[in-house]
Amino acid sequence: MDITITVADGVPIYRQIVNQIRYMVASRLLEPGEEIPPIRTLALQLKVTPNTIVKAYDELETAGIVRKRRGAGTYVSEEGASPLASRERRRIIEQRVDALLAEAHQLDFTADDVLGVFRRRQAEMGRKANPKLSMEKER
Amino acid sequence: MTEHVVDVAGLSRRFGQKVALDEVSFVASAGRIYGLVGANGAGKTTLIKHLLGLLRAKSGSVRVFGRDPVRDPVGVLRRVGYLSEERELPEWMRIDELMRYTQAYHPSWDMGYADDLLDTFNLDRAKKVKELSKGMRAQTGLVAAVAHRPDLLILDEPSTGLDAVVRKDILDAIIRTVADDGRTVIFSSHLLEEVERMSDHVTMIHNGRVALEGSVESIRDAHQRSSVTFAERLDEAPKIDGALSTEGGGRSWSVVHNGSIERFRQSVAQLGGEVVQSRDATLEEIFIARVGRGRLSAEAE
Amino acid sequence: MHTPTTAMLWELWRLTRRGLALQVSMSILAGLSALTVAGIYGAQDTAATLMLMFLGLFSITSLVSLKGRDSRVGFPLYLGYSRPVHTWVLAGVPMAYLAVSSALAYLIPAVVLRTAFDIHFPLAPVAGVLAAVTVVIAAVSWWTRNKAIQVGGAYVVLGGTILAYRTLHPENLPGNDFPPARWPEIFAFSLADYGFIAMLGAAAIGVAIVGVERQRRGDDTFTLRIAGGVGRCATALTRLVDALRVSCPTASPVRAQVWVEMKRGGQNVLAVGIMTALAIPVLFSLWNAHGLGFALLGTLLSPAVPVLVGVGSMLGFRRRHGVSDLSAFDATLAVGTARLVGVKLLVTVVCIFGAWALIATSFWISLALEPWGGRARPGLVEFLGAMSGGRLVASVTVFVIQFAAVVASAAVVQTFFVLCARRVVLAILGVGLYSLALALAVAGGWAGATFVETHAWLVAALIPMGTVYVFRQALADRILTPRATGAALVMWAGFTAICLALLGDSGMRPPGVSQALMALMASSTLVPLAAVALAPWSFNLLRHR
Repeated sequence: MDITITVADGVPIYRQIVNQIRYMVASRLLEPGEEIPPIRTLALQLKVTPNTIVKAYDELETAGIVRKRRGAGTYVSEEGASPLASRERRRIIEQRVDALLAEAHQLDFTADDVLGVFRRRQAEMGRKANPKLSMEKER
Repeated sequence: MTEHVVDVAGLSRRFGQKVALDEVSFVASAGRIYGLVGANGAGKTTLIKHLLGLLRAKSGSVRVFGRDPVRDPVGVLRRVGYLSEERELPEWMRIDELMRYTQAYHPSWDMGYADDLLDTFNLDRAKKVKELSKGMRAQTGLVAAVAHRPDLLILDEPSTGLDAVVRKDILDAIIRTVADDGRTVIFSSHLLEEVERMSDHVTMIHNGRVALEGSVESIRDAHQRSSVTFAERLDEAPKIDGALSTEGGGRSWSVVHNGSIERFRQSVAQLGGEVVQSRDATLEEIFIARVGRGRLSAEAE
Repeated sequence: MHTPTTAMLWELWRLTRRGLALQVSMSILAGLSALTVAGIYGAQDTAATLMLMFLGLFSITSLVSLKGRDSRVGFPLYLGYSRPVHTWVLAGVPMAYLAVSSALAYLIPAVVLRTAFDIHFPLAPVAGVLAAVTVVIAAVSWWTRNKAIQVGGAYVVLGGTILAYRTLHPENLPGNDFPPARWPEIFAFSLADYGFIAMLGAAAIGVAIVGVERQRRGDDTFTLRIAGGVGRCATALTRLVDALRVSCPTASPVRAQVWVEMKRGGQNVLAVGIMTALAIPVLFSLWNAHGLGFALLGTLLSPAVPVLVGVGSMLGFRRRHGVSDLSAFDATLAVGTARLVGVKLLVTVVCIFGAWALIATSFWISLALEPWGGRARPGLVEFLGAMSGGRLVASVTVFVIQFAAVVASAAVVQTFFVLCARRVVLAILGVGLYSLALALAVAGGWAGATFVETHAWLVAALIPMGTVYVFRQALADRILTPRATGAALVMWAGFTAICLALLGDSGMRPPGVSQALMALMASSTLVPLAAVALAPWSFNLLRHR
């Protein structure tokens, strides 16, 4: 599983892991029912204390995104897959928009200005063959 | 299990005039990784030596597994794995001899595990310790420290002066120790990024005193790093409530602070400024803010 | 410090000044007191001869403080390799410094003694010889990092020098006739002699410079090329040793530790025992055939060799940055302190006795060379035969226990030396000076018998008090278990009983012996018992500071 951790930007490590796994589930990089790595493996891979992974998995379970099967590993939830995924996708995009609005406010753009820019960029991108928005992975 | 793996209370120690430890308390419980940070000579190694019984507690008490490491060296050291800062090993021994020799002291020694590790590290068992490079010596010391699957693994500056590959080996060993059987690790380090990733609990020692301790999350939650802009240029750093360190110049300053964020904002506003952006501070920023030069004079007051 | 040379001289001075000061002051002190005491008994000639030898040997040891900084073999000032100086300066300056300092370390006490007494210690000749010898020793130990070649070189140089001396001065064989009255003729060196000495020194310096240059360039293998055969032999030997390698037992910590102590020190003691045993017949025949005094001296001193080797390294302190200490690895072994120390001492004592057995056997065989006109062997047989079997066993037992106690005491002194070197030196110096003053006072008739007896009583009282104190401490710190203490007490009771039996048997209780002396003797039987607690207790102080 491709997770990247940085300690430079002040986001707690367990939260970085939670966010990235949420994103992977939402974007179907992780299929419902798919197993996610055991705690030990992920800890060794990321070089973080195992308890951080435990905390991240606990939070993901509470949020209903993963399910632990006793003695058999941790899996992406089956049932919540579709409604959850849509809710999750919306949450992610909202976060992005929030950040964009904050930045716009800082630079003295109104919401309409931003919308104008948004439309223009979309049109320019559409011309460039690839209609799919390239979305950067969220940390 | 209610008993702590390590329980140090009110430990003080001086070497001549120098106070190495001053009323230090430190508790470690099973299944967690403890990071010790502090400037050179702050007292980390002195604390570790007390845990091993290499120093006798002159005042205060030291308990490891509920025992006194000075009065019961066998009971304590059997369950401890230790890698010293200098990675001291008997120079004349060959690696295989060192393994067998260490095994004799530890009934729980797992030769299969030791062999696996030696193979992973590509160490030639017929080589003598004195012929080893710095990295190989650290790897050998690491195998000798973990192959009996100690209940408590103590590493003093394990990463200092090592290349990325050996550092990774050491971190792996720490993670395995905790992940496999819920054992405990205490390690000191200057690499704060490593400490931030690897520890569940951080103890910052400064001038022999515990300057700060808590889980990594709680420490970071309690410390913010904010960018502050003032309406006018300031010639010297503004005195803001709760600020630990203030850097910058002119109108914009970056401040590491703890305590209530609201009070911080008010204080900035009173000085005619505005908080532009705030985020959790990293351990390194907190460390420099607390231990850095500016702090020394402030604490002396 | 304007030039590299002055900087190097300063460094050398800083490295050696303490040792030199100690050496010069000790020499003067020892000389003054020895010659004064000897003067009272009218044995000044003998004392002066011994003093000359002592001063000579002692002045060479100024080298030690330079070597002792580091356990590194080869050139000791290797940090200078990276400095911008030529190798001939790098090696030559220390050599010259050592030559001058060893000569001065002899000359200063000699001049003081000359002015204090009417004994004409030879100045220039002995100083010259000492300077040359120092330089040669330095050269031998600096020119290569290969220990085997170093030792071989030392023997070659020693043999060569003796041969040269015998050729130059067939009339003067040292050891036969050496009173101060003959010094003027023995030490009337001709220009040719001085020339030889200078040549020897220059050659040594040259060899050292070449060797240091090689080491500086990281190419010490040339020594192997010179002695290619030696190298190949060494490889074969290593293979042999590898084949004979006893792997470390893992069944118990004690066995593993015995293995380690054997590898670390014990096998050296035994090896030295074998070498000494082999050397004895050679020395005997040398003495027999040529009447060489030093050969006899060597034979008589040979039992001391394994003791020095064994006791010197028994605690396994590692030396770093010029300081000895217990390594963290040893200190964190999961084993009790009493056991840790016990095994170290036991292995040392057993190995020394093993080496002694070899030496004794060799000595016995060598007696067949008939050095004493055939009387030696029968005399020894008669001496031993006169003792009953029980008495022989008892004597040996007492000796073994006393020797073990001495080794343990040496361990205690070494331990305290690591803990607080300065205080130990001061204490030893203080006690030494005090006893010296006491001896002088008694010899000079300034102090009466009661004064001496008071001291005897004092010591007799202090030993039991100290013993009780140490045992209490050791028990309180759980270094010794009550069971071990009980066992020690039982053994001590047995030991005392044997001692008393031996004493009564030999009727060695003349009526003249004072009560104080009796008390002192009685309480000194406690020393082995005290050592049982003292050795682990002191080591524990070091382990848990």
